[in-house]
Amino acid sequence: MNRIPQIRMGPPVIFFGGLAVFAATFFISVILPWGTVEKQPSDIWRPRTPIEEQGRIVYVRNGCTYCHSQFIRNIDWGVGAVRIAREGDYIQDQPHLLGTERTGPDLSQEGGRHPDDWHVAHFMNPRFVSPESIMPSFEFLGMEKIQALIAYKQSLGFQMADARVQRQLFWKEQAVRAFEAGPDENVAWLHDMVPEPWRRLPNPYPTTDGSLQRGKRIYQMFCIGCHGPIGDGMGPAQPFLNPPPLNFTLLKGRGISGGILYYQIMNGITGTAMPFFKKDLESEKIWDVGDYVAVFFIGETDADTAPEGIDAAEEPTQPKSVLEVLDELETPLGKPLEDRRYRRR
Amino acid sequence: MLVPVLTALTNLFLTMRGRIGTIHSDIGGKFVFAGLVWYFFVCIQGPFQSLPVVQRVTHFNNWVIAHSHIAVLGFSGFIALGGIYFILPRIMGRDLHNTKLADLQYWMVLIGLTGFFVVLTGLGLIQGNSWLNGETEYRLLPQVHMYFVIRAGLGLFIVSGAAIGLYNIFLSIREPHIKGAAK
Repeated sequence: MNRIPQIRMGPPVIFFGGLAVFAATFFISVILPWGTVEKQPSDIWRPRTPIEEQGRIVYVRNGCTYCHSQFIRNIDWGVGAVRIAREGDYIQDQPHLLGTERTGPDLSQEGGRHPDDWHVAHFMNPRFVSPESIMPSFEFLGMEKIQALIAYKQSLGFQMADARVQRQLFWKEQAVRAFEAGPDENVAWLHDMVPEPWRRLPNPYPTTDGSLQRGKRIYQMFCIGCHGPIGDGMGPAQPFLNPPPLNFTLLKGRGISGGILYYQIMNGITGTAMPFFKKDLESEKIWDVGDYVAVFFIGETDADTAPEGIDAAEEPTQPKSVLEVLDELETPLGKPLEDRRYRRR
Repeated sequence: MLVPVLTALTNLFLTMRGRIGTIHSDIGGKFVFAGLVWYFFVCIQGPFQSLPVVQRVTHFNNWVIAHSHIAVLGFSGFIALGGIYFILPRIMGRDLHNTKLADLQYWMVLIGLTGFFVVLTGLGLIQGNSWLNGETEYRLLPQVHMYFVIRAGLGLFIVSGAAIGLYNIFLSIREPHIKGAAK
């Protein structure tokens, strides 16, 4: 039988024993990861410019990372999920800003998704462009820091972001030129930019009280900040944006269709502050909000043209005209058709 | 992880068997007992949460916040408070300033933390499952709203409990007259 050796707990044993435990922990949790970490940049990586570095400092100091992650997993669907994160994306980041929680969207591919003027309006008050946002206003930072922060955000996604920023600048020039040419040219340009099959496509969903209510809810959640409560493009974000938001009331009689509305809501208008909504809204929601805009702000809709092919089971057998729908509609202001403000268009 | 945790907890709970009432008659014991219950929950939740199938739902949302609160405030915090209320009378050689206030703190932190845990776990499940179904974070904000309001209310409850506790401990240390030596 072996005797169990007795250790006397003197100061040297405590000191060197403690040191041994510490060294083992240090080796496993610091030296091993340090030695095995990937130091090769990924295919999209590029170094940050000085103003982007400044913006990153503003980002860290204001705790943006508590609500915004910068890490796309292979199971993600939402905003930013155009590329799954790789180790080499983070080689310059000390500390990394992977984040722990997503109260707001992931920002790993934020660069170039919006033009700079959208970002200015958003930092002044996030509700200006995203009416349901719970993000605080960052107006207090002052324009200099906001510009740095925007430069940093436009760099998120590295070379992929640079390509998107270039695309924004290219289309912005054309959009501004079209806007400055006057409403006729602007609307014609906007419609020309929609692919031909979409331009001829009527809204396949019928206009009903329900669809208008749903469309209104979507409009209030996504559109009202720029296009305004009466669709005249004079929402609170308007002063910050160039070209300004579209005035829907101009569109009547200029060849608008459900397909054009759908396409532009789905893909946005790159170069302008109009974002794409295909990540936020599924098909029926886009048709519904498009029809809401058509009925209330434009004053004409093609939503009730009879369906071709096999009749859809749920739709009314006798499609109604927009005037009939408006006539039946009760709003808080009374019946829209009896209201002069609706009639005038 | 489950094996050492359950070994320790089985040992502790079998030691306490039949004397749980006695333990709860002492304010320190009361806190430590609640801490052990939180320890049980957090250590069962943790290993399951590390499974990839569970992570898929819980990662990046308030589920994790709920989990970390029952770990730090529930397990460590309750046991530390229990330790303070156990050791304070023995150091000072007299009773606490007011045991009723300590009891009030116990209930406020316990109710606050339980609610906090339930609300954030529920919110985490809503967020995680919605994201898996392709909803964006922005679309969820109207749903998140009410949970954050309740969370703030319960957080206020916990902070008030902590303030009461601090006041009580402060007075226990400062009190000049001796109310009677502790055992």
